[in-house]
Amino acid sequence: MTINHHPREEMLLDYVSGALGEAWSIAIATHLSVCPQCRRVASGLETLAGSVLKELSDEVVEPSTLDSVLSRLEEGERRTNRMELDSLEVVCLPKPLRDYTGGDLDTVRWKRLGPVAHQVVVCAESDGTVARLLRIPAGKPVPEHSHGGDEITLVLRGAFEDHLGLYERGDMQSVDASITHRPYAVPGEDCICLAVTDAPLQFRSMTARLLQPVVGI
Amino acid sequence: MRCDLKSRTVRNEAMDIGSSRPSELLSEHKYAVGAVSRVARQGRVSKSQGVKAFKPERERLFAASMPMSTESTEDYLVLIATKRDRGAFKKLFAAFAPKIKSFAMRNGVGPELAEEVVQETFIRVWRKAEQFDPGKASASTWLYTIARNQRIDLLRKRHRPEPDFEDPAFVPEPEPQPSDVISRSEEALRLRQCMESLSPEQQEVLKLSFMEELPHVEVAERLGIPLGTVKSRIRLAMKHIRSEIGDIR
Repeated sequence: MTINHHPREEMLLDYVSGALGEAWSIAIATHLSVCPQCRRVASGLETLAGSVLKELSDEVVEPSTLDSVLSRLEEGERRTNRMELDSLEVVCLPKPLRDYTGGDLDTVRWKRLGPVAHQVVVCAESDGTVARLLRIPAGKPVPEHSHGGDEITLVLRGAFEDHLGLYERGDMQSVDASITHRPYAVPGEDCICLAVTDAPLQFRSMTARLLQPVVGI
Repeated sequence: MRCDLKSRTVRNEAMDIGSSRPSELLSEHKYAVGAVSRVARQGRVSKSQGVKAFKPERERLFAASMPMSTESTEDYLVLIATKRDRGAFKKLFAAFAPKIKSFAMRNGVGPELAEEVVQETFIRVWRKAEQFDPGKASASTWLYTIARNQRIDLLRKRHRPEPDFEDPAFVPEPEPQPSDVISRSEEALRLRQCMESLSPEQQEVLKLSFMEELPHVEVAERLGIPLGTVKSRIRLAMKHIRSEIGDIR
């Protein structure tokens, strides 16, 4: 699997620093699960952060803090059973995403989105940022739309294409308010992707606009 | 002579773990010497006497400790992982807890909550020590990732999504070739020195980002510079990192 489209540099930095919001972080962590190349860049950033940490001036720590830590060392040494899936099983949704959906694709409860597509909200933040899984039937288009803000789309199965390029499993598309596009799912297999937006989409067609409050995107 | 006692304890512990390397003795000695100078400054010991008595010892130790000090923190983590060594744990705490408290306070929290971040970080250090791989990360890098997650957990009260290498969907790195293995350790070393080779402007952006957990948009506001300038500084810094790890995009 070759990944050709990666997260933007500044979003990767915000993820590493912890400043990135939760919904965006799900998409980045999911991409990192399948992209060793970006994981190396992220750990490069962590190395730099570690060297900054080492140079920080010291703050005096209360002696009681070490005592509390020492008294608690044995308490939590229970082994947690982390394996919720057979490691030989082929799964579509990487762990950072399964933590939100509760399982792999077969457990997802899709809801209708417009005449052809389906969606399920994975994480909705108080500032309006939403992460959702989308399922676009093979060969079908998403109505032409622009964005009130930023949008990232990570492909998990199948592929989609628009004037910006072809996006396959692991590829991430990042667009902002200046972009209008008309992506369509590549024929052969339904396209399942994780889309994160910080503002509602703006559809060009009147029908799509009228449907928007009903379908909720 | 509290400091003498302390040094002796350290020496004994170092013997127990079967190491004759001097590095394990040094960090505590540094504190012991510091304590004597403090006593000297407070006038309980005449300054010239105190400093003079310790000077050759101090010089010897300091000269030796400079290049070795980072190495020993990795050793502490390995000892914690393999021997559940509380002595090594205490030394790691002495070296890093004050920095982690400082880190926790950088995004504006008070000392009480910062102490809590320190506590939770070190509990996890103890529990997760076996996941530490000295071939992959330095102790400070590994501690940074744990402290960062605890800061998010305790201060922002939210979950941090992270990849999991035991996940069946996880795509591992391609098997390294023998020649790569050597370059990986060199790469780690180069990355550690990478920060200094960035321009002061690039360093400033990264430091605000890492230490104060500022999103890049707020870094621009804080510095009073256009967002585009911050983005280009980030891209230049990342280009530098990519060239260190041989990732040309």
